[in-house]
Amino acid sequence: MSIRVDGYACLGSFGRDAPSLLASLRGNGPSGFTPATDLSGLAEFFPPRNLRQCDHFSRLALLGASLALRNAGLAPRDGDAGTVWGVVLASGYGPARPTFDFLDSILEHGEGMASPLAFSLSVHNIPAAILARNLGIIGPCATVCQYESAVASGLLLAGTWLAEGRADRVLFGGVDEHTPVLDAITARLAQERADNKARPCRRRLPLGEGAAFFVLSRADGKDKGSPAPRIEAVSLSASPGQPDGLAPDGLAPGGLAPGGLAPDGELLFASGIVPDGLKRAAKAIDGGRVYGNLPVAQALDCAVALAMLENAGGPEAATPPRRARCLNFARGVRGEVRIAGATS
Amino acid sequence: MIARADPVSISGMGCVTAAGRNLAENLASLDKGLRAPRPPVLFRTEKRYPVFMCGLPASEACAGLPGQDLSGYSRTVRLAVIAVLEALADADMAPESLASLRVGVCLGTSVGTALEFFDYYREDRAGRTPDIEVIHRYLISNPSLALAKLFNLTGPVQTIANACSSGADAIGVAARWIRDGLCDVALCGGTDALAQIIYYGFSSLQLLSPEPCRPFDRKRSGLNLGEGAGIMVLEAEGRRKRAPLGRVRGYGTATDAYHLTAPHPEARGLVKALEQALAQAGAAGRDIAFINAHGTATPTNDAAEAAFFQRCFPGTPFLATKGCTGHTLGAAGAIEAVFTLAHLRRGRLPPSAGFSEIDPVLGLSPVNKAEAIDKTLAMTQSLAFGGNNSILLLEAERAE
Repeated sequence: MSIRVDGYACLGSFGRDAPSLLASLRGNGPSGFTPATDLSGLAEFFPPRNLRQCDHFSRLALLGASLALRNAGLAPRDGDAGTVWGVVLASGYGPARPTFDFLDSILEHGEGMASPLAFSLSVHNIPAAILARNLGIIGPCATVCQYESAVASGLLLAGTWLAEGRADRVLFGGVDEHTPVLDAITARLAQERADNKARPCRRRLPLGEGAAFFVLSRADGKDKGSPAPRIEAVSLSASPGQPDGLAPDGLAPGGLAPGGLAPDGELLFASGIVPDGLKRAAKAIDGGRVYGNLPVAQALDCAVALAMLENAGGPEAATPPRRARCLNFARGVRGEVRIAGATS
Repeated sequence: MIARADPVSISGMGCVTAAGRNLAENLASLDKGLRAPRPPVLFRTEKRYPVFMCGLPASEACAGLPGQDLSGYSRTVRLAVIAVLEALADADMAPESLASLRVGVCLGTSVGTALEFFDYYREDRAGRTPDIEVIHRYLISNPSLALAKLFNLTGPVQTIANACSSGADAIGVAARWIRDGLCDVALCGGTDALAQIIYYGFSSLQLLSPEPCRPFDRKRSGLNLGEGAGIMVLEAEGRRKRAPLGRVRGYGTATDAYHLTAPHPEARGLVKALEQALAQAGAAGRDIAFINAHGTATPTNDAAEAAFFQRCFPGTPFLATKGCTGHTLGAAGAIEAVFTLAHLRRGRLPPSAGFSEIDPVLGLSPVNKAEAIDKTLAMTQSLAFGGNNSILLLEAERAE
């Protein structure tokens, strides 16, 4: 599998582009975690009428996708008539706010007055459908929802669609949103883990929010002549015998120099339910301080990796990075995305 | 354009619905048109819309998995386990043999990823500290992740949440995994249990019928929710000497980009999905023996499908099975794929339960009495919220 990355974007409390995220990771941007994502930029892309019934999750997706398309200099509506676009959306929990809005409508007004709009928006594939409708995409459209492994799983699906010719371009994104209810649940679960001394744990990060989108095409497609970064491999496999708390394959202690850079110029990112001590031992880049506890952190890792490869310099890079590995391990599933820079 | 692809062997099938605890029972119910919708009992509701509920104790799922305690898992997972065990037995594979193979799992679901926290949320909203167990149950019950753990699988794991086309999509995706060599064997399909929030949601959308549903009938008045699971075991052609039950020949999927909860009236996405599926199979519409319709019995769904049949398949028999099972949401596409292959293997179609009177606006009727078929290729289609449309083309190895 080799996938060309024609454009990408990410957004969250750090801002709405990968350089802002990179600056935050380097300690030069907003530090600490706040769940508020500025979505005012949507007005650049869509008339208010199109956004009238969109929930927060779908707005995150719409803005992330629009920024990625702009970064790629592409728009599905303006493409060749014969170009088939697809949409793959990955999420850990799906659109949570509409679910709780729907429950509010029942608890406040009774079952007979439950909000049909809130229910519709809570169905997990609706944000992808809203993307397709607003961007004019009549092609394959899928949502993958499986906590932390959703990103590698969704990328695997995007890659197979491109490889088999089901789509010529795929808009792939990872999205998760903050809600007070899920945040409180996250805190309770973190406290439970902290109370369980037998298992190493992560920091007690608050629930995060963010989105990262990528415009993908076949590496051997019609744009193959121009340089672009590539996703060289996506692997996804269950490791049922390996509980959370142990080091997944590929996260060996001491493998990298400070800054997450291997001698051969490879960046390493780690996300998922991997104990902090293991991440530190491997000297992997850990975006948790900026993203918070975000199921789709691996998507933001990929965006940061692309920005670092593009800028040819990591936070403390001694040699320019040429490749990146974005590793995720959680709930018995290991997902890895290998990225090569445009010049590698 | 999607290229013609190698067929993928189907070596085992299993399903559980309100119409039966296994495929044989389901087929018997379909043949006789048996159906028994009843008021919901799994959750509180002031409504009386009937549902199709599986009459299965949780212990039934545990019986085939010695040493595994399924009590902490959701009903959606337990339904999937029942169907997986039947499919593995049908494929002549012992569950413990899977650990020595690279086995992937790809399941579609709606309820399985939904935040079904109603009681938790009500308590939390009231300022009390709710029992956290419901959250633990949710976190271990993502269907594909749960099956990977319960069956010690080591291949790719994917949970597709494409609403009512999820189960069909999962089979199409898993077939690609086999073609690409990502795994030796794939367990794929869909699973969904009846759930309170989903019931309230469909009720709020006024999509539920107060009576047993009537797909494609003049007096159709909405759908009945159901629950169940359908599973297929896929393998590469020739991996084992054992003859397959049939093959996945083609898969197509496309969105309407039209409306959040209603299909495009001219089935725009469905036509695109058909083009893909036929191209991948290297087949033509005339090769198709029959079509398993989505057939929810809502006015808009059945009208869109009827328009599609009139345009693309005039004269091809089609049937609807939700009159016996209810609408099992994310499981429906997979359950009906299992039914489709079973009908092909038997060489006959059952009547479409619930249909009695042709709708002059639609101008066509589903199969309404048992009918023989002689071709070996059939199509099953699923339409979903969000405008998703997915089609599977399945080919049978005829049973003796």
